[in-house]
Amino acid sequence: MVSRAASAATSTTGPRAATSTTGPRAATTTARGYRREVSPAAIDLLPEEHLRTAVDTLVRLVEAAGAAVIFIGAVIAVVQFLRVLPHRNPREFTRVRLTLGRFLALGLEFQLASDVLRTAIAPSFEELGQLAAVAAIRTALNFFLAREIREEQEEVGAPPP
Amino acid sequence: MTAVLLGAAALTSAAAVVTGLLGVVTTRRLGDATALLVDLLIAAALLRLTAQQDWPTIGVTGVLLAVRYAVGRRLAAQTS
Repeated sequence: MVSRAASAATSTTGPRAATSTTGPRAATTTARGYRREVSPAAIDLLPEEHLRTAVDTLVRLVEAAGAAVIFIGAVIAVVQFLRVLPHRNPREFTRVRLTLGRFLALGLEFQLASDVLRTAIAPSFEELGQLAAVAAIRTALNFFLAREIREEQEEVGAPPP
Repeated sequence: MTAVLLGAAALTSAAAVVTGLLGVVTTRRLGDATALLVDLLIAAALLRLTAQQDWPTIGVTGVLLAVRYAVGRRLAAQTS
């Protein structure tokens, strides 16, 4: 995360985008060498570096929320497990897993949202590849969790949330 | 924030190992204890993945996801 922030910071001054604001319309050269015209009013209203900073902050907030949900869920699951441990009933374990699964699913929704946000500022193919792999893992886990929660609810007989 | 997340991931991993061991010792049923262990390890991996997104971490999380899927299938086969 630190490196991402650093890359976002350097991109504002680095060689990624060169903007010349002379003339009635400014010409911007993108990182891949394409040249596009952007009106000076648009540059004034929403400079790219401000957009990157804003999205990076949002990504961090949403990811932190997801991580907090997952950690709280893990703590609650461990406490529940310690409570049901003396009963030695494996069925109670299923309830604990159900609780943890719900928290994981909620946390994953937050993290998937941050993945979507991050696609807006991913600067390289390497980062895009990692982002795609992480999003695929999170989506697959979310799918399996939703399915298992549904099946285990039927098994335990708990009402749907 | 990275240090906090890595600390939380390490704590969750330790809790997963302790939980799994306690589950096996008390119930003598490997399947249920392993399921809870793997779920908590997945939680730890997700926390670690939030802190640092590099290929080794992504690979470990992918392997854990595959293990979780296999354990889930085995449990489903036992119950049906």
